[in-house]
Amino acid sequence: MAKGNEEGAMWSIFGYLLSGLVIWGGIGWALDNWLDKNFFLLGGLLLGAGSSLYLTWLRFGRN
Amino acid sequence: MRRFTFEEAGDGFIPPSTADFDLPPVFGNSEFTTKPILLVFLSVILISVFFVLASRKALVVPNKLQFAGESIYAFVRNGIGQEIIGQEFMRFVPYLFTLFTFILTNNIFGIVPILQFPTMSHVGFAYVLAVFTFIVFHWVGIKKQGLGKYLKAIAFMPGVPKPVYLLLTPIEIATFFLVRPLTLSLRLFANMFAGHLLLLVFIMGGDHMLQGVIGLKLIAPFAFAFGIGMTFFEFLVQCLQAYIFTLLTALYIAGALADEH
Repeated sequence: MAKGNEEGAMWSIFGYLLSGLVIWGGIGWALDNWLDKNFFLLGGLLLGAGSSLYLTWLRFGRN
Repeated sequence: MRRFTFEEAGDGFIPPSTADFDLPPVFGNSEFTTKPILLVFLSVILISVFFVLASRKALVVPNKLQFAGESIYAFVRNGIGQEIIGQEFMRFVPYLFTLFTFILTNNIFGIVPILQFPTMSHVGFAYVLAVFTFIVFHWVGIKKQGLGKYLKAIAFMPGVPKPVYLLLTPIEIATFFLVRPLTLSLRLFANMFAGHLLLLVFIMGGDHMLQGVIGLKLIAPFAFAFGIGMTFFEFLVQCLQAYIFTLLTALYIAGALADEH
């Protein structure tokens, strides 16, 4: 995004963090239910949080 | 709509709830004559009349009405359109301007005496607006870059090792097609809903205390004072939410226009 102000960047980052958690947490939760385990949800949430932070850095951190 | 009766007053305070948002039809027995829907029509009429009057006899030295109209227009055009979208902003100004004035008017209905209901506290209205924005920014992106290239730009961030796409692509797709319209509409809805509930708590609570014992009667003015204070606060929130919705729409359009994110 060439132009954009702080507010917009803030909400974009919020969107990334949210969808990271929802998507990978959701996949983990589905795996938990399917395989009758209990650690995929946590793994998925961590993975999602990590990758959305990485994505945020890619989009806003590097020049 | 719930009204306090004197019999009810002794039975303890019934806090405002989501039931207070289920309004009966104003007239007739149709679900299309409820207050929020009539408010939407009213807002369209008000906005049209205001801007037709404000721009009808455009003078070089504007009168008050023209000045007010032009200020709002200039704010959206320059402050949001030009600032965020850049070069091609002019063709999006009508949409942004409509969006801003429509949301602003409907939000402010929440604190206008008698009307006193923010239309957007019914989530359906906010969904529709988000769908419009969703269609506009994707359409703009597809038209500008072509469907394949546009989707590729969304899904595959350049300069990332290939295996990482497995992690990032689902997040990108979810962000663009799910989280963006959802957060856009829910932010507007939740702010209006919560604000209306907050005002109900203070005003109805004050009203309830007025009907209680003498000790409660003495506290009631504070509840009303808080209610009035919150009304000013709500005005701020209502303007801010209209602004943020328009701003984010402009940002999404700008993102879709950019060749590379």
